[in-house]
Amino acid sequence: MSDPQKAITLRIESRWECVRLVGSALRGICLEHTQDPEIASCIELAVCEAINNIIEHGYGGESGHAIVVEVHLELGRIGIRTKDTGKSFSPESAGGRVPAPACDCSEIRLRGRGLHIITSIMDTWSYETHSDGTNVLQLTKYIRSTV
Amino acid sequence: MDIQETQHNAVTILSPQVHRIEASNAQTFKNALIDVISRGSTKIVLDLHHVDFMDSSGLAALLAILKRLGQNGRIALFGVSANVRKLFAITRLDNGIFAIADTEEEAIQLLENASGAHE
Repeated sequence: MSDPQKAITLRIESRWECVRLVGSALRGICLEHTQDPEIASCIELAVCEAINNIIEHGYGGESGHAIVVEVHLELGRIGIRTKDTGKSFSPESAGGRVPAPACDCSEIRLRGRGLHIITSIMDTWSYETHSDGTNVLQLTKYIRSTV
Repeated sequence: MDIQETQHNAVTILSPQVHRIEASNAQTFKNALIDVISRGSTKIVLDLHHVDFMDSSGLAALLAILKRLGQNGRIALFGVSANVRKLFAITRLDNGIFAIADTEEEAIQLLENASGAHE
């Protein structure tokens, strides 16, 4: 069961400049919980990618929309939930697959790696759109021990 | 974006003076590098030792530069932090797409050797 004393909610506006605020805060929170800088940095990257996707695809790059990031710190795991009300996406079509490596750099896709990065770093992920239009991305990272 | 630029023979060494290359500044980063390329540099060494965070937008900027350089150019990186190395590994771009060296000298050598191989 989640310990309510170890949960924190962050809220930002859908502006690129705000992504680093959440990223830096998350790194600090996760470092405090895990004492593991590598895990903390990986989670920072995964969540920044998730928020980038929300701003770019969900809100079409528009500022002024809300993005909520809930962090749940539990024994042996960190759960993160992002919430937005932008355009939802289809996880099936996105696939989370990395663009195939290419020998010729002219064949390399420039973008489309965000979901692959998220799913590579996090142990579980799910995405759903609620009836009120809220999109929820839920991410979990298991950790060996907490202090 | 402040990017320090030094020249070593035909190799241009660029050192972005930022801690993060991410969605908010990736376009500026890309434009600064394109400016260097448009002045004729085709062998670029990127010193990333100030950069402790990069996201896929930063990667996309680097890939755009690589494409812009085309077959005549190459990019070698050094000073790559563990966090940034992890990003390259996850996206499999550390496997021949970008040359990642441990030192500046090694990065320069990678480009000079590559140049010798083509000529």
